Amino acid sequence: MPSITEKLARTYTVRWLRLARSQPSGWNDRVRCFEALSVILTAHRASRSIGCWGQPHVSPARLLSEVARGARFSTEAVYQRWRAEQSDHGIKRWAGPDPVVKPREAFIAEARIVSFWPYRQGALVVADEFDMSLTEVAASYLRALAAWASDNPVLAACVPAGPPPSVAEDMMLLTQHGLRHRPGSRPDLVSGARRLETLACVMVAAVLDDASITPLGAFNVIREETLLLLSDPPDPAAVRVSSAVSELADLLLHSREGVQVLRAGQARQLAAELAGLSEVLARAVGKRGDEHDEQPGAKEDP
Amino acid sequence: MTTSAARSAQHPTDLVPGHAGSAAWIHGASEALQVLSGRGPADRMHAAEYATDLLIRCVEDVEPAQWRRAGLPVRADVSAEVQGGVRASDPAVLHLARTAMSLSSSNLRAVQRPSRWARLADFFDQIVGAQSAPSAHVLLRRLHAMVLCVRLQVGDAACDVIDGLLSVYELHSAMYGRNSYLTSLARTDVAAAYRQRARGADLSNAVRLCQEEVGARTRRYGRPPVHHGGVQSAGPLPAQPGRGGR
Repeated sequence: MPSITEKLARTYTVRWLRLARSQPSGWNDRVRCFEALSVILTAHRASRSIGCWGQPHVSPARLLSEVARGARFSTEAVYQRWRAEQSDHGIKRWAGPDPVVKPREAFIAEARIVSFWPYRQGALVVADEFDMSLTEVAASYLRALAAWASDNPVLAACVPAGPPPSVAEDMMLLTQHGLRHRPGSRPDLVSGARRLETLACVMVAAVLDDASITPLGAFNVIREETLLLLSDPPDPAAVRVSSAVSELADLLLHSREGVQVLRAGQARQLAAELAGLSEVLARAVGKRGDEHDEQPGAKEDP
Repeated sequence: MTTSAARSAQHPTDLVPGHAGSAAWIHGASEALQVLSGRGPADRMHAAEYATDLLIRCVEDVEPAQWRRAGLPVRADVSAEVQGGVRASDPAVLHLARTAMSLSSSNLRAVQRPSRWARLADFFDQIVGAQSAPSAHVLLRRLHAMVLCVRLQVGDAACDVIDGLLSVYELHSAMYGRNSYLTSLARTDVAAAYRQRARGADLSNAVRLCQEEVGARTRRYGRPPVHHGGVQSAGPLPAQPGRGGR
């Protein structure tokens, strides 16, 4: 079975980006438009002075015309790239041929996807390198998304405000991967993925509401529910033992000089018990295979 | 470890050309590396070395020996070949360096940490200047606050620690508002410092700050904070509802 990072490397958006970038001329024109948008949005960046520490939603007037002017294209040339009826030549818009999606919306969607992409890729390369569990991948992805919103608040706040639309298919994949061992139905998958997408929106809104919030702080707003959606139902005994072991390790590692956490006899007895438990666990791991979904930790700083 | 298409297909400048793409990639990678702080000591060390390797590869104006002097775990066999074009003063570099330090110092005894964090803060003092982005200055200030916090954790509640934490609190409060996230963190740190020193009006000041903090968090999260009582939460309240961290 492919890993979650392998699945995330084969999404519709990944394929769209590869295809789009394989046409350098058309791609460079698109990048010029995104750069023009960036200049326009800079003027709307909230000043982070006293009493104003959030990024309000913005909706620049005549956006595509202004982008055309900034990128030195005709207005028609810009509209043509992002309207529903696409020509057979050139890069097709990410939003597809649905006429409900207006050119402005399709343009903003692509601008968000393109600016978010390096954050997503950086997080997924690390996730792959460290063979992360599903919950760790989800935490990494969502924290990278919060980092994107924090670095690009005006783009995230541009109406319709929120994360890049490609997040929806990624949330679907994460949910699908989380449900792979559980007997469930299609409605579980759809409602789980929708909930996860909503949580991503809540997290981005938290970033826009408070210019000082860190990606970890924003992720913590949705952490509990996100992990609940993606984790296997917890085994109370395993959770209790894990908490106790972490607490003891912290006490031993971080206690001040001269403070005795354990007597020698206690330490010997615990070491023997843990060695016995290790053998039992090794047998259990051997039986279950290599799947693991441990909780990612949040204690990054002392 | 797996070998996925994700790894082979990506490079810091893969999609968005130039500096911005590279910095954005580093920021995304940095967030993922921080998630590994929940793993065991060996994985945390591996992650710290990986983060430092990234700094060496992506930052164009710093030599490996300088990162080592800044207290980061540079591997002996590291290649000095620079592939990226990000400058050390970029906020993404501060994020990644902080992540590397956080992961590597988590394996140290508490008394060894203040000097390591101080070396990193001193290093970036020489890097971040008038031309740097405003967020680089905010990150540098947080790095100095971190030095004070780790000193506090080893029982050092000297006047300069308390004054330093207090000035960070006042600055964040003025910049972002009294109920903002960074102000909350700073307020919790000051309360912890007062509680630790416990002289004169310190304890009543700590109680007052805690009461303010409970109000701020109730407004932010819609419910009062729950204290899970982990040994790593140095302050009287956890940094966020239910979890430590910044």
